[in-house]
Amino acid sequence: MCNKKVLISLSADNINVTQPPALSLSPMSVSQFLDALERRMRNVCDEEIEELDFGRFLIGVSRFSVARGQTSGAGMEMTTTRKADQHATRHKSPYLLRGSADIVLVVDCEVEIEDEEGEDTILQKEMTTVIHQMKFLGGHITDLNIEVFDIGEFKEKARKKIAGKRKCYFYRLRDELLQRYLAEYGNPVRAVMEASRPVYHKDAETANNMDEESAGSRKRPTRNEPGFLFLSSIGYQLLEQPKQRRNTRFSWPHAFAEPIFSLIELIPASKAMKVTEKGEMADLYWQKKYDRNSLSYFVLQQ
Amino acid sequence: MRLEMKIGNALLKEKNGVTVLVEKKEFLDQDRKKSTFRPSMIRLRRDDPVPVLRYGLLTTAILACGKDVPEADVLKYDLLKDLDSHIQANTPVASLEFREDRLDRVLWEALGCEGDETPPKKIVPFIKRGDITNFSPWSPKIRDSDAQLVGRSFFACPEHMTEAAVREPAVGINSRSFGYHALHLVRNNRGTNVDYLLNAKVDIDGVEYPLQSAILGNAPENFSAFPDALPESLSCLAEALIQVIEHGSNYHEVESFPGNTFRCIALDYEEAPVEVTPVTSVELIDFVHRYLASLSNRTGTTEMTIGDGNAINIGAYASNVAGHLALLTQPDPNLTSTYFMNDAKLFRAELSRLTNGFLTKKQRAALSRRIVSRKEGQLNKSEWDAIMQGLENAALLYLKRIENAISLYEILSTESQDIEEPMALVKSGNWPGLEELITEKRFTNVDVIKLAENIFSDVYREIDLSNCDDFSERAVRKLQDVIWSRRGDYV
Repeated sequence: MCNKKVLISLSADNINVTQPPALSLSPMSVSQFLDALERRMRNVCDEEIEELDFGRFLIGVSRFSVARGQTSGAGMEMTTTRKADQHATRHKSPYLLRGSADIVLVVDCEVEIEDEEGEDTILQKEMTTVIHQMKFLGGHITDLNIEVFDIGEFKEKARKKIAGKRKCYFYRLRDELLQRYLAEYGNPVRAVMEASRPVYHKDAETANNMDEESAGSRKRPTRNEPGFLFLSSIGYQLLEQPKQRRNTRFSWPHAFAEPIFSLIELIPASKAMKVTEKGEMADLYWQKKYDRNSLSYFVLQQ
Repeated sequence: MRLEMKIGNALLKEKNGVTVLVEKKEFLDQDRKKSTFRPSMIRLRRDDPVPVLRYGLLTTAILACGKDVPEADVLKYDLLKDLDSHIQANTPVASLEFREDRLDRVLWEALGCEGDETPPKKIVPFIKRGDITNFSPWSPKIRDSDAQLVGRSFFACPEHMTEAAVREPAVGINSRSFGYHALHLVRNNRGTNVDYLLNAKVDIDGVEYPLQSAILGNAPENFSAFPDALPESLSCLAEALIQVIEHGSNYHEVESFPGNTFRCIALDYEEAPVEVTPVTSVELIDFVHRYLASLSNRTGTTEMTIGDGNAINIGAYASNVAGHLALLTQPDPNLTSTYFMNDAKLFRAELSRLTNGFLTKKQRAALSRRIVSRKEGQLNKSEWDAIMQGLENAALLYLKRIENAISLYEILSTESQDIEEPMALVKSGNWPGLEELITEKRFTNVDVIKLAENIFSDVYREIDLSNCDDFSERAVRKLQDVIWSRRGDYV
């Protein structure tokens, strides 16, 4: 068994984007994508790869655009005639649900391959083959580049690749901020409102360099900018003990669950990589957790 | 008494003493001119909109279930059959002689049945299938997250918090963080138009009663807005309908059946894969967030997707607003629900999306015209005052009853040596048992009897005390909203 870091750069169209005010991916969705990838690779590549285990992962997003006109059935359709446009303008929130994005994922990977010399190549090749057969968050993968690094060389080689990406932001969990506001206001709605209101937040880590005046005075920021705090789904809480039900996949037990939300902050790639040099990059790695007490399953940064 | 029942484009009316289903062309044309696509619930301004919506959605959920399967008519028939069996069974409904009422006959006639003969296989549907044109892709399906744990289906109520209900996630927030257990909504991609139900009305002696109000109307004080007292039969119908919905086979079918159309994910649960169906009550948070964001930055918001990237369920959203936002209502008027409720334009736009997933261009234009009209939808101050006053009265009545009960408890505890039995009854809330104890004259104190009368008199008026479960459930349902909204003061 050896530890590798896999840098997955992919572009995908028509993916399910998440949530205002910042267009984002849900870390939980990414985690599930990686779970599915791991399961598939174990099934498909069992001859070449003896053992495979995905661990922590980083999420970076460098480009996000929304396909206008793609709406949910429940939403409004954008129309082209003038009258309808006038009508549409009355609804300021058309239901833009699908987008395209460039995504960077860094995955810690424990792998055992017979052919030790070519293990990087085999892993890269197999992973590329499997991912090309998959969808990413419901969308098609249009571009894919996978690189495998040893732990030692990752800092040197990957740093330039990631930090060089324009407008690439990493996701940082700010649950402690949310909990602080919860304690302060007592009301989750109020806490969320305060924490994720669309202004630069003085508590945002990346806004620390700004003095409070300038931070508070700059309103209406572009959404996908560093320091922006937004809600995103980080897991699920099972509402019941799983039980056997009809029509489940592979007759697995089934449970109804409720999404768990928390605050996420955007960290620019360059800053994230600087953090790396200080040895704090580990803070940005997401990990899967299961809490037996609350029956909740989530991804977390520790 | 003249009796008409209007469901969708069908009209049930009395002819020569017999209730018949009328589907006249003129009637249909006339109905279309009235633009029935708009649900009647928006017009219920003098009622508390929250329970109206909740019960309305609850009702639609069960009927929507019926539409999911090919044999929709059969299921609809089953629904009504359940209703009828409920009426015949020893329930509070039967005690109020609902069986003899004409509304019963209306429903029975609608099935094409007479007397006790076996219903025909092909029943007369409430509405012709061809009339259902506006299919909403998301129809609400309601499940109570803790119903399985407590063994019954309660709405959110502080008295019935279970262990699961107060358990919060280790990280982040979800609806548990709000301290209540919620009605969750399960996605159904096939969808059903539910307008015909929302538009259902009952015309009695020239007064038109929306069926939703009847469903709401198990609490008579909620009907103070209506010119006359609520006809007993209508109340019975509503009660029976709710019972059918909550205990009907269809309702439980929804709970136990994830279905192929639901977006399921698998995750590792104690190292074993589990399939999960996310339900969407947290979108409430999103709504508030989105709405407030839109106040400050009109261009800064788009629609949200949930959990695994699924699109927001508008039905769930509206239902959340209907069922849960009231529970979040804080004494502080500046908080969320007031924001929301005061913005009639937004409220109605979202409601329209709920009930009209797809609209024709003409309908949209009509809808937008309605939205900008302030006259129709916005609650004015006096209307709000009326609603709040009614709720407050209900809460005070409830609290008064509790106060009386406490006094009774204290008197009993001082008077009798053998206090264990009444104490146990009081603690467990077993009012019928306590009442039985007192009427057996085992306690002769005048105060006791007077207090007991105070407690039980209004109970007698409303419900059958023979069923203890019924009492607690109904009382809880009636008063929960108010208690919740004022829990800071009272509870």
